[in-house]
Amino acid sequence: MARLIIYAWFPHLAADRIRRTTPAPNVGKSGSGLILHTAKYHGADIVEAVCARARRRGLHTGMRLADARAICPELTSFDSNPAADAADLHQLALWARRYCPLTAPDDGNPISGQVAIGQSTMFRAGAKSGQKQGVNSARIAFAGDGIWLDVAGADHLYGGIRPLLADLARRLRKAGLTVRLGVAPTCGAAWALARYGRSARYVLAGPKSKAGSEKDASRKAIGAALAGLPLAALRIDDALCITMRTAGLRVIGDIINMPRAPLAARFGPQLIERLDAALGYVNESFAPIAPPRPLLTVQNFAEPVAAPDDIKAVIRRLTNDICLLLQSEGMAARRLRLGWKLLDGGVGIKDVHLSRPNRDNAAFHRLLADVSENINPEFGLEMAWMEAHGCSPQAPVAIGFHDGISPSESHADLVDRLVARLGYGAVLHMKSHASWQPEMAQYMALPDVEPQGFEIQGFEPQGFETRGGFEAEGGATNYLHSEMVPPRPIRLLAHPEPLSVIALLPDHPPAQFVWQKRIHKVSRASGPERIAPQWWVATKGTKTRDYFRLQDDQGARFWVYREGLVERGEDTKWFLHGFFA
Amino acid sequence: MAATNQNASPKYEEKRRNFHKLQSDVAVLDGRLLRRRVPLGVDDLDSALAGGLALGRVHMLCANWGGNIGAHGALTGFAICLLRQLLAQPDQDGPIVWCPSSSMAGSGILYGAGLAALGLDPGRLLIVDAPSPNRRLAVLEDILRTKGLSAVVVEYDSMRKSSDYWMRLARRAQLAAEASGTTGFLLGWPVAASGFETIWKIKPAIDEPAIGDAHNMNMRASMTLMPWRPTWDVELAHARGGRAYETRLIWDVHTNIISNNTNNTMHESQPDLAIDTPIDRHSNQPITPDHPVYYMHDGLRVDGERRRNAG
Repeated sequence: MARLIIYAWFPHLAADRIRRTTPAPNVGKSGSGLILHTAKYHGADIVEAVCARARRRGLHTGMRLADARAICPELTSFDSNPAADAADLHQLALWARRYCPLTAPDDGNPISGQVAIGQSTMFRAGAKSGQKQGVNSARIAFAGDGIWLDVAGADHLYGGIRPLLADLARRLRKAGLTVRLGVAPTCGAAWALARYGRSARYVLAGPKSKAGSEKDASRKAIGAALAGLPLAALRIDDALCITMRTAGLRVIGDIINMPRAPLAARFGPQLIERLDAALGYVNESFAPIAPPRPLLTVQNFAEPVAAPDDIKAVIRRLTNDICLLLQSEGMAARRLRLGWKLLDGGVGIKDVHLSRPNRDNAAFHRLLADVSENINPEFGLEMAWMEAHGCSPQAPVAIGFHDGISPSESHADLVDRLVARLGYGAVLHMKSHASWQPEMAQYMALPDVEPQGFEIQGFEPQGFETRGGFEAEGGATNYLHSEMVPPRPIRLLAHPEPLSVIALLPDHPPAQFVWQKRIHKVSRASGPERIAPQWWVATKGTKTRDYFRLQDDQGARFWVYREGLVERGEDTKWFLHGFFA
Repeated sequence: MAATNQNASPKYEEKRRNFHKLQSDVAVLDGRLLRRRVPLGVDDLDSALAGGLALGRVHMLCANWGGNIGAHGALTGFAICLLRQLLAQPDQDGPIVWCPSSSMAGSGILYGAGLAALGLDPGRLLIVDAPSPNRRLAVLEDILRTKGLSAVVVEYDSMRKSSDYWMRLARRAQLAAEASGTTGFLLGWPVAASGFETIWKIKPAIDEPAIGDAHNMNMRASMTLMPWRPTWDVELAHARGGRAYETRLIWDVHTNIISNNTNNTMHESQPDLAIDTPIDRHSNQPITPDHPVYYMHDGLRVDGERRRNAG
């Protein structure tokens, strides 16, 4: 049976993505601005992708944005996002699996085949690879932007190739994508027809049932269809095209019937390779993508399960199954999701997080130990499932006989157990933030797999290669001996509490203050440390603070500040902000 | 065993050493050998503790400041002092798990820069945020069972529980701590608890220089230059294997030395960034609450009575 390859080319993939995702009503619609995508190249904005209206106005890729704006001032330009385009293509290729099991996105990488077709500069210069070879070759920037479908044997499901194409085109157009389709028995011919064919949808008829070998007839048909297409349709370099044009060869029909040896000698072997691939003399194929398979185990029950012991047994079984699945796939998961379906149709979900990717059966059991208490089965569970998310490949680990659990693993284990018991977000690390505002200088963050250190504002670590400037010998004492460290309390109140204070003006520390209805007489004071607000972000009216460290006559130590400066004539208010040792 | 002199060859000695090491390892595993004790540096206190602070056990630190609420920092500071003595031992590289009281509880959140100022690296703290003291004590046992941690600190604030509850908690926690070798500290208000390794009552105190020291002519000047050393009135209410003891402790943060006499050795460490006691600009005397007050009126100095300026 003859092969049948469809190549769907999206000439304005980036523009269509913008039109789909931008909520602005007048983006590229009729009667309003055009869309361009740009990227910086050597400091100048270069147009990478245009929409159809821009193309009609004469804008093309490779020109500078300034020139484009000069030609049509009302255009709208966006930054190019090749990652988003590649993701779109990937999604389209996955969607196209509704027609056939073998699909692949064409993102500018060379197609594999039995003949080593070699890395042509055309594909290297693609915008997807992010390399720019010069303004001229940026013309081939959309060498990708298409998907392959191998529909041999699948067209009868739609009643023929034409109905299949019609369905494909209709659905893509409904999604807002402009598409050109090319169908041929070879990849090369499909590519050429989609890109350079004259009509929007180009179908190559199968070989007529006549005498002669089928392959020969199809090759003749392909040759006939490709005859009028320019040489660039063979996926060869621009430079080679120009060379051949100076030799007088412009269309494929010029070279199809020429003797091959002189061609190869004159223009290189790549030309002959591509020609053979397009005509079908050489097999060329693409590597189909596989959809991501979820790691999921499901258990259906013949009778609804409601007893607590039964639910525990169900959870145990699901955990064992998911561990086996992870082991067979060689993956480790960071999040487990247990789901159950009740008899009345309700669905419940419980997520369990792990601090590092794990597939240890015992660890999973420990984390899921208390889950069954939170399940309210009502009339019974009909179905239960467990998914593993955040999977990453993990090689099998050899366990020695003498090692116990290493301390780092038991620490991660502890974090997991605490998180399972107290909730996600209960276990935190202190992280420092470079800010002189005391309440902004610290935040709590979830523990990450690689612990990072705590850096202290105003302290320059000298020659410490390890984390944060605090480790290494003498880290702590170096910090303490540093001259430039202002005193900071060990406990900070989340909301500073107002005090009534007796203090000499203008900037003396308090002699006595009243807090929580008790009078504290101050026996020793130090300060002030003046902290001004961040004038570039602070709201108007935030005042400068003068911080004092006070010791009262009982020995307790406080961090007290006065908000407002007398010399500026502001109203002053005193607050308690923290406690010292 | 009879050690005869003719067997004193090196190989035999090594075998004997290995055998004794094996014996002690087995004894440790059996739990018969006592845990390490960290001497605190104050002789009388160490003898009251029967050698020092016991590792692998649970200690309770209570606040004892009577009517002076507001010394939350002092209790935390003493806990950090003990932690630093503990961390000065070898092999204490693991993280420290701290379960602080809720940020709304009135004693504030732990502040990393302040902890660093006392010499404790905040990067090695693992904060467990559980708003209710019941839950914190519930996970205490679980955390104590983990190997590889340096210490665990749990703040239970002012929970009111029966002494039975505390006895049961203490027993479970001590067993867990012994099994894993992790030291635990409980911080909070005084409760009728028994079963913990040591029970301390902490009160902040004023760090006063000794009067009449020959080095300091001007006591006020020396006070200005003296660093702020954390000082506590410490009462060791109960120590297993030891006796009760009371003393005043002063902790020198830079050298990590605890002392119990108020000697005012002038330290080479730097004073605070700004002036300690405010200095009166005209007379160059430090201002204390008894200092006479004057104010400037049209450029003339006018002596006046003590005026109170409420801030």
